[in-house]
Amino acid sequence: MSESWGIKVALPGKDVTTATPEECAVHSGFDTFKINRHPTPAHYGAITVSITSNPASGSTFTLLDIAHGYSYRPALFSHIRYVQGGRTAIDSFFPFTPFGSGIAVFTTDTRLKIVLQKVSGDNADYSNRTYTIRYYIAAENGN
Amino acid sequence: MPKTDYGLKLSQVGIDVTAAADAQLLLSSGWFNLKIEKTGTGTVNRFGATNQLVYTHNLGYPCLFLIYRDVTAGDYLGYPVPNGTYMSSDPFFYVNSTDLRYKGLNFGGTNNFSFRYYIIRLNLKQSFVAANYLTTNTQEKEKDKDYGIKVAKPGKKITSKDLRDYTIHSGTRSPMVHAVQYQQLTGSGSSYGMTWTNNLPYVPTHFSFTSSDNNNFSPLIGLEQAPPALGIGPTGNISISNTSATYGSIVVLKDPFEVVTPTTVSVP
Repeated sequence: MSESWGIKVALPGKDVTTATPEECAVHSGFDTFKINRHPTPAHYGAITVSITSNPASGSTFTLLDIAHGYSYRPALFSHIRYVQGGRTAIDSFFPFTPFGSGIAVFTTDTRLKIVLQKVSGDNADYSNRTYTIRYYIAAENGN
Repeated sequence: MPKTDYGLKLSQVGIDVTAAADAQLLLSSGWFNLKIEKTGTGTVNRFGATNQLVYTHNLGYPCLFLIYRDVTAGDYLGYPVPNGTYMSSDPFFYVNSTDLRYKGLNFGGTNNFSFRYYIIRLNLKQSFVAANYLTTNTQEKEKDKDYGIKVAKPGKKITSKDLRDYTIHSGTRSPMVHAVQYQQLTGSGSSYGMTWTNNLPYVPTHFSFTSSDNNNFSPLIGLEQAPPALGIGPTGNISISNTSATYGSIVVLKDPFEVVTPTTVSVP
């Protein structure tokens, strides 16, 4: 097996023979996240969730539940966007924790799920909120 | 001086590479993809020390990283975990020029959790702007299913059906970096912070980090009750504000946030 084989494409202005991996657009010596473009259902997408009335404390809602076709838990990317105080904010990877209310985006060995949860004891009013959640399922391992 | 007519582009199957928008390209020499330096699993103690070592990367710069946490038995959650950095009393992961570490609560006692980490060869302290971009999608043509490029990892077969066996596979898309903006935070009061000015026609996916010492960088999430606030204006400008940090770094991906029309779900 030759260790010197591969593909490197340097960024503009960089000499490909001396470019560091950071100076390469593509470098086959390093893995990257790969999102399959062909499966059904698609491995990327977005949903908008409108919370029309305040969910009961202790309630859970499944917003999306799709098979990803892998037999392991794949890595994912997700973004949640919401409108707050006249401007749009983006959750750069998600507010949900196991300890609080929120929207979870996660994978199991067979599924991608997006779940909204309002934990017991949370009496806040979440009505009339709209969130847009974008997701990508990568082929790489998530666990 | 780089020549502007030089380079390499690979479009999706069925897309004319000479007319393809950025989002229709699989790769371009005008920007870079996320190169994985290392991935592995670990366990940290939420109640433990403030400087728990996860991995020594020795890259010489604070790098982009991703964490996937086991939320409940059998489930994994995206990044960051847990609780980000929106309150200084909360635990979080952080990176510096040599290590990925975890800041626990230092309570004493044990509250372990397991996770997978990814170390990415992207310098959070090195600004970058993509050489060029096209934003208008071109029409898809008839697909030639025999077309494509695959580069298998050493020791893996080029006939493998497992996408994890490839570093490059034209049947997939990989996140591409549009910009990295690293800077010292400026201004005062409510205007203190930084802003990346969006030059894309959509709201991009991004990662954002702050540092109080220009060495240890931790990720931000835009919680509603932030500080620090991570916001995006009507034109897609990404801002960091309301923070005591002194440096920020915003990594913007070309993968568009709104390229797909969302389906709508109502709750309850």
